[in-house]
Amino acid sequence: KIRTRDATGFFEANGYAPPQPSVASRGNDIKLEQMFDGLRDPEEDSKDEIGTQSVMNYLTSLDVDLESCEQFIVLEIVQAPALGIVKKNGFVEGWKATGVSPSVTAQKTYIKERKAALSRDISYFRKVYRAAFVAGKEENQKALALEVALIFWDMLFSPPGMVWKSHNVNWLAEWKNFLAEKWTRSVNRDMWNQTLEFAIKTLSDGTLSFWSEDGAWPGVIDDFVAWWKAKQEKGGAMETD
Amino acid sequence: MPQPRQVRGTALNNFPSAPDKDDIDKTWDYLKSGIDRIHDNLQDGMDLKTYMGIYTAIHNFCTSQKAVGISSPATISSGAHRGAHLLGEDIYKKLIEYLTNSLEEHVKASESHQDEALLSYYIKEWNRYTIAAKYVHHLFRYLNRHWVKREMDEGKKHIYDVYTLHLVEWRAVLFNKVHEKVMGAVLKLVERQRQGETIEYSQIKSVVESFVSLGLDDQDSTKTTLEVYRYYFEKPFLEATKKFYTDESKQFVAENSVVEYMKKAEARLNEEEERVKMYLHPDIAVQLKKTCNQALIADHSDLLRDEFQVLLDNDREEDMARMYSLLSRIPDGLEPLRSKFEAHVRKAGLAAVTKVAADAEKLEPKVYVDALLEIHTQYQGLVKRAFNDEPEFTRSLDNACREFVNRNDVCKAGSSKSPELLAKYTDVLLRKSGTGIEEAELENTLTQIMTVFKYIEDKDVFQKFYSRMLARRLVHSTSSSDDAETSMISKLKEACGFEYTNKLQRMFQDMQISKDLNDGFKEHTQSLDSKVLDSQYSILGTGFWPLNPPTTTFNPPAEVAADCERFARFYKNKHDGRKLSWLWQLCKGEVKATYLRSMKSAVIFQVSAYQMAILLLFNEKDSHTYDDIASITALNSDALDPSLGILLKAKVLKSEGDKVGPGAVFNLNYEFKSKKLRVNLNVGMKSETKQEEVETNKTIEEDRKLLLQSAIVRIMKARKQMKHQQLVSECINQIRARFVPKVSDIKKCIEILLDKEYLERLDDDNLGYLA
Repeated sequence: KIRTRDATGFFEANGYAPPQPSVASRGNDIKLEQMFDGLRDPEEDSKDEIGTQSVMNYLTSLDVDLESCEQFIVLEIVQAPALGIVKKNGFVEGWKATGVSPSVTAQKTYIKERKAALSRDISYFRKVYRAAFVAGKEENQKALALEVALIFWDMLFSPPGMVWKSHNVNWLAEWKNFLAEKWTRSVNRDMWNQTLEFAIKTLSDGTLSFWSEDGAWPGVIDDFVAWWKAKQEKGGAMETD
Repeated sequence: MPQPRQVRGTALNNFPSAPDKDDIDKTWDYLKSGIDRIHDNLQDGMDLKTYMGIYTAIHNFCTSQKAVGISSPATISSGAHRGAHLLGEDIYKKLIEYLTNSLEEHVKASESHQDEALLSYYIKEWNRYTIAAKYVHHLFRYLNRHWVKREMDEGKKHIYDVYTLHLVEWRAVLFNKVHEKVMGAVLKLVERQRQGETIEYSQIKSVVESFVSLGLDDQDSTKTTLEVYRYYFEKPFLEATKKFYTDESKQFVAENSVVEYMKKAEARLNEEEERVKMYLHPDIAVQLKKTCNQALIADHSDLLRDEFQVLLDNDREEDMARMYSLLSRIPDGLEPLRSKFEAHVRKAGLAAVTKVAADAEKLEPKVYVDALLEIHTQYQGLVKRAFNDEPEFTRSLDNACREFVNRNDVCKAGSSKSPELLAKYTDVLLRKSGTGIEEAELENTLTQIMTVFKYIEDKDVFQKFYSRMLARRLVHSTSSSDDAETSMISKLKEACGFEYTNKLQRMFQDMQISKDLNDGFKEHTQSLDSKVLDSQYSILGTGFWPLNPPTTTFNPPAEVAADCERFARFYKNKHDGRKLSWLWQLCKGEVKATYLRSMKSAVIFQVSAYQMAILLLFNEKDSHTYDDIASITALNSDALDPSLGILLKAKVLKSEGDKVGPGAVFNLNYEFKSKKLRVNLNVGMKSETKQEEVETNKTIEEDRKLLLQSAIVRIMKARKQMKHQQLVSECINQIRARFVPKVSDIKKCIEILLDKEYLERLDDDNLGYLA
């Protein structure tokens, strides 16, 4: 089963409905198309798609910090099928759906506002988080390479993203330790998605009492919990010494 | 009602004449002399004249209107028929007074009697009194029919017909004063009997009858209730019984073994049952049993149960049967026995396996299966003989067997070893062999195989090994009997269903069809003029046979190739569109050696197709190099080397230093000698079967994964949406008949299906099916 790689497919794969064509004026569409054409490097890019360098330029023009998860905000809006690719269709439809006026300044302001929403609106963060998976994996692969996933988690689970850390446990660090020790395979969509759900749970219940052996968590999460608990026990024994 | 006897003699002739019908005192005096006679001298009888006199006096009195005497003011105000009413009351009251007085005298008289004498007295008086009551009742028929009836119809309490009135009075006056003493005497008597004396138990029986008669139903005086009897007889009886057996058992247990005690208790329980039949009212049976069970069994149940292990260890079947029958009488009495039994059987099974498993690698399948069966047979027998074949004990036996069959020393690496050995043993049984096992005995043994099979958890493993070995038996025609094969398959089908044996049956059918096909081919080739091989082909359906294509290329000898081609054409003609591929590694044949100098007649070599190809090369010349042979036959070294090896070992061929490999030169040995005229050179290699085992086990893992995934998809397709946990347990349910899946394996399969997008995650641990 191979899903088509158009925008509709993207939205469906991420679990929400594609944006409806807005009744906004055709004028905005034209402005967005013009804006896209302006981003295009005629030497490098094809007509309906801009490549890595142009995407980077665009992101920089929006004051997006390329070292942080801010870029995923933009990639989510424009439905980027891969890290260095933005399609014209995705760009126009995506921005149109936000209702933001088609100018770099307005977009810049909008991104800033979304950036602030990341850490307080879980369901928005989930959208961005899931968009990262789509953008991050190789086009012909179903899963994310482990090293890419690790970098993404670092970005997404630190400011301005959702910090995966409680007052006494640095969960992200523990998660990465565990993977380094026990995991060599790539990260499929389920593992990627469920890692976030697990992370959300750990932040409200650090004792992991929400976890149960009979639960629906993927095996890798079960293994992590077992690994973590074993580690706690060992640590506890050392403390009493 | 009894009729008064018409008596002889003149004893009654001086009976006074009828009294004045209006005078109660005179009338009563007249009546009293008659009643006296009935109560005190019934044996003397009463003549009809007296009887009629009394009857008439009552009639006259009751119907007289101008009554004098104790009539109340009500008489005046009431009408004519009310008068009759009240007059009846006078007689009724007189009768009560009479009975009370008479009974009080009897109470006094009873005081001089004790124990058995008291019982005799009570029974004698009771009999006399009740018989008299019947006569008096009859005499007072008029009063009963009119006055008593009317009073009762009007709902007056405590008015009884004359007979019942007798009983009421007996109970109120005599019984209330003497019942304790009477019961005391009864209980003493019973105790003496319990201690082994012979007693006159008919007395007790009479007492019981008397007590039962005294239970009058207030609503309907014609009926009796058991209340009086229950309260005054049963209750003290049960209390005494309880005390007796509590004391006795306590003492007995202190002085004797548990085994002895059980015998005693069993005897006591039987005795008490007899006692009920002998002289007690059946109403007491249940309560008495309960009381005895409590005192004799329940109060000592821990002691009994503690002994159970000892009995098991020492195989004391009879004592265990006794313990079973005792403990089965009390609620929840057997449960602890069952769990001990289960643990014991499991231990015995494990020990039996450990004993034979000293060298697990060389373990004979028969030895292993026999060890399992022996334990099962032993304890199934015990359940049957000692535990009444009770389903719960059978379940405990099954649980224990399932444990030691699947998890024991032989199965250390995994529970798949048991089904493997069982399948191998079945193969030994079904294969042609020198043991010559009888048909009937074979059938028996196959039934026993099924007994073990029932406990096998990894039924899929058995299926795998069984089908591989069946394939081998069929392809090499080494099956000892078609009937036995069919019988075994139908047994498996019965146990596991059609799906389980589908492929096995198809394999069987293929062989049958091949037989017909070969006949057809024979006819076909006979019509051809060319010289043909005496060949036989088996057409095996790809999906049904657990066979793999050959792992080497092969150029068959020209003669064989020609015949194969002929057959292929013949087959294509019949079934166009089917593709035939040759499983050379399974082919075999015979070649006749006519070149041997030292043998008088030709020798037949039974060879594999590969060996045949090698040997036929020597028809051209006497010497071939390894490399020539390899290039002509196209066999790779994995197939070629062992084939050559055997030919060398049997000395059919010779080579320098018996070496096999590039550079070696092989010569035909004209000096080959053999005692037999048929020489089997087609002998399998140990490593081959070992490898097959490993391969079988590997396919099992893969098949299980597929089986799990298809079960998950099947369930989800039907349900569309389901909780994760529900899906897991449903999955276990569906798969259990084949093997016991691990939850973690199911989870892995769910994850695979999520990844393949057959399933999706929904909220709240729900999974959804994606069509």
